Amino acid sequence: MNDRIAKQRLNVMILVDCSKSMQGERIAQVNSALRDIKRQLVEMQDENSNVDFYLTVITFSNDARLLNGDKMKPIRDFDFSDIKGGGWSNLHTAYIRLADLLKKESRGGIMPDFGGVAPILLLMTDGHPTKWPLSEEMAALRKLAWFNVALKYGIAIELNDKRTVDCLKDFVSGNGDVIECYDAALLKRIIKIIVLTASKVKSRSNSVHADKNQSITVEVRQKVQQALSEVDDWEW
Amino acid sequence: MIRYYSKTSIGYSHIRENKVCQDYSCSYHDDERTIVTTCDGHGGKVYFRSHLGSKFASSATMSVLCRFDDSLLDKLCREDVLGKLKLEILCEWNALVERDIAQNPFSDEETSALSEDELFRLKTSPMMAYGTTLHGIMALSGRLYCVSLGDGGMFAIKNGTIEEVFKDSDDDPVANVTYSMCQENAYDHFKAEILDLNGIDGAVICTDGTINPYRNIDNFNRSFVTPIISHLSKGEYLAVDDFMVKLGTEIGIGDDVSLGLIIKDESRNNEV
Repeated sequence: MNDRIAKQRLNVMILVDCSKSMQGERIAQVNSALRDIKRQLVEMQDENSNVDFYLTVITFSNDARLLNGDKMKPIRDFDFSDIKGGGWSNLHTAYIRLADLLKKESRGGIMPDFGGVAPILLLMTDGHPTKWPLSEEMAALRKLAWFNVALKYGIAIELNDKRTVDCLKDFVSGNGDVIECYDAALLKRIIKIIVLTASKVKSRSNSVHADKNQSITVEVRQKVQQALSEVDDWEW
Repeated sequence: MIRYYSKTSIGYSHIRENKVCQDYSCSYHDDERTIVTTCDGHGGKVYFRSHLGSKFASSATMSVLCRFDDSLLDKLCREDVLGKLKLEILCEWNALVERDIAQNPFSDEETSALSEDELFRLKTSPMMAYGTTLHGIMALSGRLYCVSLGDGGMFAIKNGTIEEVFKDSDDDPVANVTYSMCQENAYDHFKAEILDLNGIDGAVICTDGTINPYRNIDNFNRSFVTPIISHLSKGEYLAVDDFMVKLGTEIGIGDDVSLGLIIKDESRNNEV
């Protein structure tokens, strides 16, 4: 009776803009960050974590795809060929793909039918979404309980553009933060700080109690802010 | 013949934190009816009396179902009967909570850890301290009456498979957020159903601590429900008791665990 019992699942889901403008330094930083994240989450899981980490990466340009075709890969098994840049920035296709995933397993998604920990969603982009506005796709996401409880971060990469930042703010919906990365050379560090800090706090929290999710979110946001502030000013 | 079972065990996280068990389950059986309940008090700091809330929810369900007269189905339509059951259980639970607050007002010790905002919420809605989920089933006159509010599980058993009695939707609460008896609009989320016992083999109810480690319905059925029924059918109640304790205190997710089962035992019936 106890052979199929598992720890709670913590899904980390990363949405990566891989349009043409991401080519070069930016996409190289993302690829390197993903490799480090895999290694460090495996270590974290080995250190008596309360959860099992699963990683899903959605890349979007002309179309949204699951990296390597993998959805919800146990972190130890996660592997990938480098993401390459090219094409448009069809963010709406990523939202549609994400909405399919944020459903329960019995409905074709990757979220557990029972239990589970609020997922971590990270969206990064360096330019205008091709389709605008995204109200229809966002409305579909907001209907999903797993989207609403998720801790969400957005990274605006080397752009000073209100429309895109507003788009990212709409995505995080007050349950996370939007980080503006002014130098692509820092992108890897920022991605790692967000994903690893959030994963660490959430995996070590005992989530038995119903009122803990909100306090965990507050703690993650504080810790991420603190870690980001420790990146030397000159680097910014 | 009907076999029934109920059991609650404390979870290891509550043992570590020196907290009392927040779950409560009970069973009742006579010549006419069999009832089992499983309830899960929320256990957070604002729900500081939820171990009582879960007990009251079980007690309220037992009282209402024990006095339920199924001839009501001849007089009222099915929806009205279900609505009446839900309302009576909620009223009974509210009455038990109000009586407890009157007899034992909240103490400074209980509320000292609360923030101003939490204290305000408690003042405007004292029921919150008793927040709990509720699942109850009753076998009576060839029917299975089901009442459910909040997370956990309630499944009909048929030919070795299980099926959710109440289908949830993608906008129902997830990740340890749940509907609760203490909500002002609890009635809106309270579900009730009547199943024909001839069409099923029984039903299983449980709190989230029991089902969450199994993650999905298929695994829960294959790895938990089927072996449990096998044990119970052979009269091995102690083996199931032992496993429930182990699930709570060692191998589960740390939450309290509760299980309730009503199954028809045709083979045994034939023997009789």
